[in-house]
Amino acid sequence: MEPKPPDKIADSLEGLDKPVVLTLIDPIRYQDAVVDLLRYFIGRTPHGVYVSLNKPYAVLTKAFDKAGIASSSLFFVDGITNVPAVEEDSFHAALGSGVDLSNLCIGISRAVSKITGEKFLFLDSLSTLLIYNDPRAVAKFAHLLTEKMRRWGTSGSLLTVEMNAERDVVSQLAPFCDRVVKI
Amino acid sequence: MIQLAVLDPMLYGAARAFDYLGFRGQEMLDRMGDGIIRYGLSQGYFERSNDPHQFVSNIVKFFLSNGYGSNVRYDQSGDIIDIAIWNWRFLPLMEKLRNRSSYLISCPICITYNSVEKSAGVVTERISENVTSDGVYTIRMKVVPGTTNAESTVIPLHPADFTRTKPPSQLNESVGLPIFEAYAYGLACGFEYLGAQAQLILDNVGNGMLEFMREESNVQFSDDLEDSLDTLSTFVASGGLADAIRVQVSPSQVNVNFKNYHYLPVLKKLLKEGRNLSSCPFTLAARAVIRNKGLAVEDMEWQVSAENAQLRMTTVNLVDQQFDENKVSSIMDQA
Repeated sequence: MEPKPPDKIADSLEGLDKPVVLTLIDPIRYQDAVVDLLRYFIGRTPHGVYVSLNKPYAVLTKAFDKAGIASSSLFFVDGITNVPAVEEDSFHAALGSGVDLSNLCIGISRAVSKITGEKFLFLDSLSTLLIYNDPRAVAKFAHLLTEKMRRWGTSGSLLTVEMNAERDVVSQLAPFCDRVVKI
Repeated sequence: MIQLAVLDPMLYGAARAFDYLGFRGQEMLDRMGDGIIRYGLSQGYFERSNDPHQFVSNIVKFFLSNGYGSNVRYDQSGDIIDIAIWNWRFLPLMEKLRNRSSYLISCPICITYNSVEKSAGVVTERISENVTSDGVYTIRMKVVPGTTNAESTVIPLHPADFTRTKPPSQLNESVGLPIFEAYAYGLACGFEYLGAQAQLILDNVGNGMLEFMREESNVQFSDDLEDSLDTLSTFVASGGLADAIRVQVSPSQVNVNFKNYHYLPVLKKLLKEGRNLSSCPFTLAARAVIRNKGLAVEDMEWQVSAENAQLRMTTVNLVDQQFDENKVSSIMDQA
């Protein structure tokens, strides 16, 4: 019998101390998969940075609270809400929609430095970046991010929703991650 | 009225966008059904009923009165359901998809039916199909306990044999605009649970549309972006999307003027509801044309009036995009 997704995540990442994971998400169960994965990381490391390029901070926190995930344990980097200039408070930084890859990197770096102690990083998702960016640039971005995650001693996951083979970056990124998990 | 030459590429593109999921792609297509129902109810195209059979009957009447078929007969005996459809507009598309070994059904009647069936908790397996020489399609289904999204709920045990009966092209035929509107609304809303990345699905639909237009309507797109968009605009305007569509291309923008634009009711509703995705057949296909020329659409800004609309698409050249890892890395270290 196929293991349930949360068990599948735990089984796949067993034995890894601070896993950097590339997660391929089945579009049919995107919402549940994000919650399962987030729950896994929060269970291991109570604080994290959630980079959202898909849904605004306000929408996400409501959804996570409903799913029983304490959004207060996360610092959000919002790259989807339209803001005239970068906005920041103790819980989130809004970089503006369509933020370019360089500014996204800088925003992530700042967010990570706000949390002292152990933390994880969650990027939702590489797929969104492929709408506005060249796949090679997205691959370079993801490569740099995984490199930084290792230097920061941060575990985490880069998400990608399986939906377009032509713009796929999975094969380029897999070697830089500890595991590729399909959920 | 709108020609099937405009509507069918959308249906084909939708089915092609989920080919890679195999039979599971039907679940994605069925997500459009809720939007079609919401739109139909909001516009008074059909009435809701608490009785699922009556509700389906109301919906089917709407599709038939708008020309998506001439008759549908539904018989249930115990757990066996027999459905027959006369002059079903989807039949040529079904044949085309089957030739690609795709069993996905993107017919607006079917995905709406599936949506009602699912919300009523009914699961049916596809037993057998048949197409007669005069184009009557029949399907036998069986109500089964269990869950949807199994292969047997999508792929018939005995599929129709299209080798003996090739349905003639109906691309010059037209159907009522309400069908187009409801379908377009369903397409724009069906995948919004994915957030912004739902645009990738719509971009895949656009690619499928171009494939269909090339193969079935012999539309030839040139290497020049403006020429290609002119070809596309002429094609969809002549099919009934608008009285005229004028395109102007500059290095970082594509401006489009739609005169007497029949997507407008959908667009206005989407904008009013704060939904950002556009399912206009021109914009879906245009985004694919633009992408194929090495550009990406960064932003789409609409201005609408009573009957017309203006669209400004901001484009970015992907080839010019630079991401200097070393430079960004050192800035990150200082952040």
